[in-house]
Amino acid sequence: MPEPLFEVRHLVTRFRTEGGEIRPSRDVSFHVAEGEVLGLVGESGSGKSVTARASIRLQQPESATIGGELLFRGRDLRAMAAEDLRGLRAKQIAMVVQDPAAALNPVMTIGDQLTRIHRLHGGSEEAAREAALALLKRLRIAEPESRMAAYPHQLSGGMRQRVLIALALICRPALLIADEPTTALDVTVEAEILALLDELRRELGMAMLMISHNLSVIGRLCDRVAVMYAGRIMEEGPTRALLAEPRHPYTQALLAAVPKGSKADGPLPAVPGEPPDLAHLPPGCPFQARCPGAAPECTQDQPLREIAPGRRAACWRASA
Amino acid sequence: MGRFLLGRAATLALVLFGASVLIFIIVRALPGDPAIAMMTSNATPAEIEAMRRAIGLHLPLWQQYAVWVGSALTGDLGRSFMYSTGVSGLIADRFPVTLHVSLMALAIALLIAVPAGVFSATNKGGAVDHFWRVFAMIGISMPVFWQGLLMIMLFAVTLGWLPPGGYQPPSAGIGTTTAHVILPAICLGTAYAATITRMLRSSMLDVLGREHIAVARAHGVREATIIWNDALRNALIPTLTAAGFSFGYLLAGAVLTEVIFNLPGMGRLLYESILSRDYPLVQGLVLLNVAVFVMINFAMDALYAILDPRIRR
Repeated sequence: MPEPLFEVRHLVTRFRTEGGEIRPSRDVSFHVAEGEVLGLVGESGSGKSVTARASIRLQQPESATIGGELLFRGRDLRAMAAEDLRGLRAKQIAMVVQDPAAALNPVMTIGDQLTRIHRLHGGSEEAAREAALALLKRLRIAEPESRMAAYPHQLSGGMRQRVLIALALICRPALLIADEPTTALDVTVEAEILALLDELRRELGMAMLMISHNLSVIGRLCDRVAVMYAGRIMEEGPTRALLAEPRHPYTQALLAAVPKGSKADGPLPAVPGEPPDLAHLPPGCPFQARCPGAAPECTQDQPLREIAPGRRAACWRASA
Repeated sequence: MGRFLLGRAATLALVLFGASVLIFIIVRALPGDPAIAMMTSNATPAEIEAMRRAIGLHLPLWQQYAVWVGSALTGDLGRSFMYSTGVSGLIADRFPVTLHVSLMALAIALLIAVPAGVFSATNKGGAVDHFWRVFAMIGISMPVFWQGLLMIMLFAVTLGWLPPGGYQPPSAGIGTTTAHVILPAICLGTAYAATITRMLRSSMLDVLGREHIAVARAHGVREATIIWNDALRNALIPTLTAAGFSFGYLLAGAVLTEVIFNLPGMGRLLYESILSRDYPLVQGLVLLNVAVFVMINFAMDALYAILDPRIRR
């Protein structure tokens, strides 16, 4: 196997809350190959967003990375000097986030926000402006010239999300972290943005780590999927195979909870039981309390192991 | 933006009218007769009555108000009972002193508070944060008259570097005038800085936690730019309102500070006018204070509109 573009090994993060310390990522490992799209799926609170941000060393003050390696083209981001890491940002690694209303600076024009990123990594004001205009056009934003002078509040939600994508792509990065990029949008806009994102990704040959709680979004865009639960990756594999034949009981429960589209079948399906309290996790598999097949073995640690070529699961029961 | 400011200007006029009525009534409701206060203790009732007529107190209240507002609009705020000169002239003499001290205090406050607030926020929980927390606590809770006396003792009495009080206008030379103004300005400025520091700190912390900061960081914007541009520009918006209001208080004249440093400013004038029940002077001063407050509010709104594009239309 060629060296992956980005590889996270045994990432452990810590988050201080009022209820005590929690670990949003507990020994998380994954990799993304050049041009590949990896989906990171899980319920809210599963730790996917903290994990993704920690993987590129972007953290809130309350959280900290306490273990693991973050290898981008073989170099550990954790060992890198801040200034070297800054040089990689936008140019190599970029990020799109969930809430476009909060993700743009309200007191700066769209143009200023776009061009400064381009200029930070070399290039003239003029080149930056040209790149920004071209990208806005490419993102099908009407009248890009006048949008450049606009402030974020003057744009619609869908438009703002496009600007946010433009911000991430203006330096043509090799890896894009997309943290629920369409969750705040309504369904028609969501479809459009996803299609655009996919198109641009192919054009730029960009790899992507796509975080979502929405399995249909993941199914549409991702080559491979990693399913997260309580800070751990439970199962990982090629999208189609994993969604068609989930091996981990949690993935099975998650897929069974996707509404099928007819309301005659009674109540909406859901994963039975309560999500775990991250501050007080049982030893072993975090899903054991909700698992229909729980057994004494489940109190042992369940490492992620290969169950078939390219497929891994963290359950002693799972098999090909 | 023009329409926004026009609306504010209309509100401003209304507030001033309401305030003038209130001030007039409240001053009349104060116990004590100014005519008696102006006379020696052995004045006869006839003499007192003559004085009442001379200063217009025999007229019905609404007429007194009409006369006052009518001339106020032409810039004449009446004659001071105590000084026997025009109130406008007195204010014109005193206001520059207060303005000078206030501007100096504002400059000192901002010079301290902006870096202190920013560094407290970026070092939350660290030594810098704790230092400024203690500074703010002292600044807010230490009475100005005590701080003023301590400073006079140190800089004027013990070290002999600065004059203990009094005022010299800028025309006396920059060194002389600053030497007279610097102590009261520090006295007022540190208290003012303490409030602004705390406000700016919490506002910075709020902004630094926002998503657009994470996005800027994710795209390689320098940390210094993030703090001093991205975050500060947003954090200044709420901080400025508070700072503006406090500046209104400063301009109204810091009574204690002016008394301690023997500054002939608005605060001392107001203090003296109340003691001697100098109706026209009290009215004029309070009205001016309201006007200053309202204008500062207006200036803050305009500044807002410049800082925050969401307010512009």
